[in-house]
Amino acid sequence: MLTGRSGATAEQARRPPGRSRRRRKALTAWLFMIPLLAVNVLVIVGPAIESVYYSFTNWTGIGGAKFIGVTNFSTMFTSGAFWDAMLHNILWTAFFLVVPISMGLAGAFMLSRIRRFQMLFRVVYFLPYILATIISAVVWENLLSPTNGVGVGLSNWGIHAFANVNFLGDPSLALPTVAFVNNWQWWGFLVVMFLAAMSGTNPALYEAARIDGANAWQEFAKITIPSIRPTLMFLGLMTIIWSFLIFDYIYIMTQGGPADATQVVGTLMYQEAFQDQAAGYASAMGLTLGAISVCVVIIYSRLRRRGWNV
Amino acid sequence: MKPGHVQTGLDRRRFLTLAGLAGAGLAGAGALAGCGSSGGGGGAPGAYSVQFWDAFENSSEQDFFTKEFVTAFNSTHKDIQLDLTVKQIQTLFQAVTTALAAGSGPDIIEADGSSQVLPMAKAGQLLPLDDYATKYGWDKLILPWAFEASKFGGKLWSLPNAYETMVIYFNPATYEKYGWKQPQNMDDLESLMADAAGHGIQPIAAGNADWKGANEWFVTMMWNHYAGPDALYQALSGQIKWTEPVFVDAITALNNWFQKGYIGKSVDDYFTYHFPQCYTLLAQQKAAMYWSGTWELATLPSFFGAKASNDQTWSWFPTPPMTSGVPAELYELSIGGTFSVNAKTKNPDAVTQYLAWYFGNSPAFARGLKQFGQEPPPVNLTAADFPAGTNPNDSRVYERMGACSTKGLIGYTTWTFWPPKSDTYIINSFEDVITGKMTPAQYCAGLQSVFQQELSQHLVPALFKPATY
Repeated sequence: MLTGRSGATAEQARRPPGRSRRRRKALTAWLFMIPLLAVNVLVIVGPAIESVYYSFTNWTGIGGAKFIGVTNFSTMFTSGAFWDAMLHNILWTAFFLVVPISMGLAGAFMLSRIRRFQMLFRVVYFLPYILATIISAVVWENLLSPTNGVGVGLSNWGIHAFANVNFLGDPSLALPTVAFVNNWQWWGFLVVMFLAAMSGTNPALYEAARIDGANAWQEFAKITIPSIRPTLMFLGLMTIIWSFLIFDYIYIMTQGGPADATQVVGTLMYQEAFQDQAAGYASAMGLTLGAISVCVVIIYSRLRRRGWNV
Repeated sequence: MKPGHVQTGLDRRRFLTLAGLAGAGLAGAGALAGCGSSGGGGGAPGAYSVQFWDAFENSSEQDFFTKEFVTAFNSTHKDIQLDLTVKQIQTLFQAVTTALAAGSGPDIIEADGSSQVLPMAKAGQLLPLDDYATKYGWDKLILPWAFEASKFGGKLWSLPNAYETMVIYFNPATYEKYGWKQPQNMDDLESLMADAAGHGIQPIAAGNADWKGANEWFVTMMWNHYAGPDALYQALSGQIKWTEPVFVDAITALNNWFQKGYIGKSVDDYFTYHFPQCYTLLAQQKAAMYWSGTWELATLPSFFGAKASNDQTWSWFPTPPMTSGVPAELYELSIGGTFSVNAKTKNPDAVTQYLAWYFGNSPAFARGLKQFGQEPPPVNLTAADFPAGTNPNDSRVYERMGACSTKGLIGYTTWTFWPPKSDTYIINSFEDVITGKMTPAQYCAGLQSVFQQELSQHLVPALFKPATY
């Protein structure tokens, strides 16, 4: 058996010449990764682990924390406020899985069939997406104001249908109204994403379909949708995850009100952590939202592994 | 490099150059992140630098604070210097609590009130100030109710640096036009509201679109002026329950006003009205009253007179008693901000020496009130303390609060004297009452349940006892 320095040299001599170079390259790559990994550990992994720990404590957000087992979770799962908020999240998710995705698909399909002004429409649809949430939320709050909003303006022109409608003040209208405003900003982004995916479809498929007598709907259903399925599935997945994390529009426009009509788990969690000084309980809610997202990702991964084209 | 050749690897020199640049960038970012905007201080060689983090609404207020409370101190004290670091107003408290948790932070800890101080005190992050209070006479300087409310577990943990109350703002021209007088009791108040509504004027301009917590302003005013501070003291100390008829009746009366459209036009509109709309209604003589706190002294005046290009004026009167047993003039009080001392401070004597100088600076507080409507600390301010040119409405409110609080004619604000979960319940569930999802009796029963839990956990802030009358 060869041992010692001379042995190692002999071993190296038998290796392919490019191996040490590849190893150096890999090392270089890892060295560049280190800062990113360090930041990731510091701001994501560390707080995430800490959050798991705090969810089992009575931490107020300041000072020490006492371990209380699963009390936070049992309180949460028996709390009417939590389930009401969760229901609003589910309704929100359903709305965003149906309305903006349908609008995005329809918009992208129609845009894909025109040549003139396509870029103009793309810009117009995409423009709301680049606006800061606070700006679009405040603009819409003013547009929907019962005292000086669009309803009052229309009423002055003789259209009284919206004169006495208080979109954000009426508990039965507030959640759909905030969802509508969020959708206004969101659907244009989906149009651009779907359009990009549709541009990868083989034009010969459409030509063949037309020769066979397919109409526009059949082209859309039989060719477009299957060819953009991975994009569609990915955006559907992200829609579910983002919908459970919704906070900004609701916090800015209604603060969860009126009468908790727009309270979602995100805003309830904020309230528990920063108003009720129940950061441990809020961590339990955060963990639950995280678990939902993980479940969605696992389902997605399983489907891919089973050969689904998603 | 030849044209067309793509270099995929990195040689050592290039790697080191890039790594060096990345390192310099990170170091630069770190240095920038570590830099706060320093408002002064730094001090003479050998002087102890008292670290203080604060945040301001605008640069004028920052300049005022720097001139009155930093430069004025530093120029007269050679061995102690105040080092002010200006932070973002939205994240000041989070920055302080994070630093405290890491065992560092400024010497002086600023917080919004007792509810924020209590957890820090429980966590051992603050220095008890009882000995210094005796040494510097803070127990005599600070109004008794506020001094008591700054204690927890028998120890003094903070010094109140701002105080506030609730009043009723009105436009005198509107009252003159319709022949209205300041209401003296519940009948007067309801007559005024009915008359205003009859003239197409909003009885009480109100809305919570900017701040959901506006709900508790109404609850605070009703419970103090309907149930009275004595009943509140008994309930807050656990002697009686929140389900007592006097509390339920107060909420019922308030809810009736909401349902009649006396408050914020309609319940739906109340949820969407912003504060500036309320000020405007008052200035345009389209509202009879605006119920709010003394923090409005900083914002409401700009909607009246030359600043708003109109000839309107504003004034205020105290909330009238709504039942026979409540004093005619009574102010529910609140601590709007506090100063505490970091338990890890290296020189508590120097820090408290600065605080003693700060709290003895009444003329500067009066100047802040005059210039910005800034709430002063709860020290006894008399007419002589206010500089010429102070709006009489501003000086009168603090004179009356001081005079009444020395007589014990004071009440309790929900955001200062109720524990956190009870306070959140009061704000959120009140919307269930006015939208018909909950009755006033259910609302009070729900509060009793939440409050009882917090009372047993000793989370109710220290209470002063109101005067017997």
